[in-house]
Amino acid sequence: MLQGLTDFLNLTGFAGITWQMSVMWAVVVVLLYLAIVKGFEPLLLVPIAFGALVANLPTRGVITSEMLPNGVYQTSTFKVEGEVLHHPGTEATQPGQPERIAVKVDRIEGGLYDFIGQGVKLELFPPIIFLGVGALTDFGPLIAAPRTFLLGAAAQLGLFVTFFGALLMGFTSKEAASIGIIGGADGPTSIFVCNKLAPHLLGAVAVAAYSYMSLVPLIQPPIMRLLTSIEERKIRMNSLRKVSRLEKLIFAVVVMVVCILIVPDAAALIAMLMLGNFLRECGVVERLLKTAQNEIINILTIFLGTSVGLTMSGQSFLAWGTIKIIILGVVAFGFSTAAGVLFAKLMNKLSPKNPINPLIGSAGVSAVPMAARVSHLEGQRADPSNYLLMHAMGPNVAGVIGTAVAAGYFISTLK
Amino acid sequence: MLDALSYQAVGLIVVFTALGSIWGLLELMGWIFRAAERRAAAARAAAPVLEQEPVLLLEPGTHAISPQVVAVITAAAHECLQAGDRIVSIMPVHLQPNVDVNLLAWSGEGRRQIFASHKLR
Repeated sequence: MLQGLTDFLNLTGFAGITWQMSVMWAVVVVLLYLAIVKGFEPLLLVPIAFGALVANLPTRGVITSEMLPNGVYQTSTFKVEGEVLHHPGTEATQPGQPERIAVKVDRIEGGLYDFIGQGVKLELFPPIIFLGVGALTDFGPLIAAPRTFLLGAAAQLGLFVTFFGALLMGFTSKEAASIGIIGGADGPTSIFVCNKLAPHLLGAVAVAAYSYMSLVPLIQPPIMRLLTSIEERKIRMNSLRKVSRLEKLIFAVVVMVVCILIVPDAAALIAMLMLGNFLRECGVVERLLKTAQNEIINILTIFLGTSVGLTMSGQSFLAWGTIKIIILGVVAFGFSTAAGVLFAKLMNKLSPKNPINPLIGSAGVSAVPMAARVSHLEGQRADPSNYLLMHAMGPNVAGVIGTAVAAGYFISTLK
Repeated sequence: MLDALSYQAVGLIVVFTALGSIWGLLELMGWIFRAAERRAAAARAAAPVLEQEPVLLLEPGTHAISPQVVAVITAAAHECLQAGDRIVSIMPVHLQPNVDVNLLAWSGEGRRQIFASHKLR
């Protein structure tokens, strides 16, 4: 009987607890504290933190994970058992034609998130979340002031500077690109790029990207104040014109066509972003719009967040590489913010008659609408009657497109 | 090192090219739409002003509507209709002759719009 009890105890989870798991529990507590008590991006950090907690418990039937001989921590794999059928007609009929096979699948074995996690591996979740993002986004301020597209482009400098820094720290080109994309402050795009180029870094990159998105109100203001004078922060911008529905519809199509022609690898992200926006602006598909804005994006946020969190096993997360990624993430963010502000000042030098408040340059990072709100609040500190929010929304949403283009460049040149 | 720097420079050029192209196209589109709006505004200004009867309000002493309420109703009508219409009369619903009050109730109008589901809210 004692032996039976001992055998059973060995089957329980207690035997599988490691010290790395214990450390990760503390990390999970910190993430949950930031999300729930401090209110930092709870929609994202709560599922990620919970997924990380599950990843650091000795579970069975949730996710399959293993450390490969090359040091890569692989997750979300499932086993397919079947029988290869030999039917007449499956042999190649002409020289050079591949032989076709037919397989009868008897059994598919895997845990819950081995299948749900395929949404990340198969690059489904990020573009579909972009559908919801496009459905929620009003591009009116950007269309009314299209020169703010350049601020969204300038803010992508942080990505490339961090890419260089990551190379210097010993990361490969693919890893450096996956880390640099954090500077875009765009969660789905970061996951999209990382999954294609460096899937073993997904957990660290996703946590860094989403955490820094939520820390925008802390990271950006000191940089903005350092790079601008009081007079510059008080600059009043001309009112934005009204943008018609037809313009918004044309905008969605034009952006999609131009971006796909230049970087076809960004097609999935850009097309879904613009599809969501087209659904919003056409005004005749309200049911589809409401679904995209609510059910779809909410369901996928849960699945994406938990899938990402489940990659944060202590084995892979507690590494010196993770610390480097977190440091580089801050660098990326800082450079993106600074580049946007400085480019706005440059535009003022070139076009002094129609000045831009340089504070809106920092909104070129893709953290919509948090970065725009930060620009607005900093402007209010200098001049309480200066309302920059709608002006800042232009570069803010341009940054989403800019980051997607940068992602397409990385993927097309490095995959 | 130089390869990495040139790679980044090319990347930045690609991003600026993409967004710069969109900027150019949007400026062109904005110019076309602003020109069309100016033409439409000029046409409206040139159209003869129709003689309207003066704004008819209720006679003094009978359910008078304050000027502030008139201003609010005018602003709301302008915002909804988005046109330079002129308010001809304002009258409480229950005083309109030969009209089923229930059909004109504001709540009924709201329900109709929701069921029609053609407007974003």
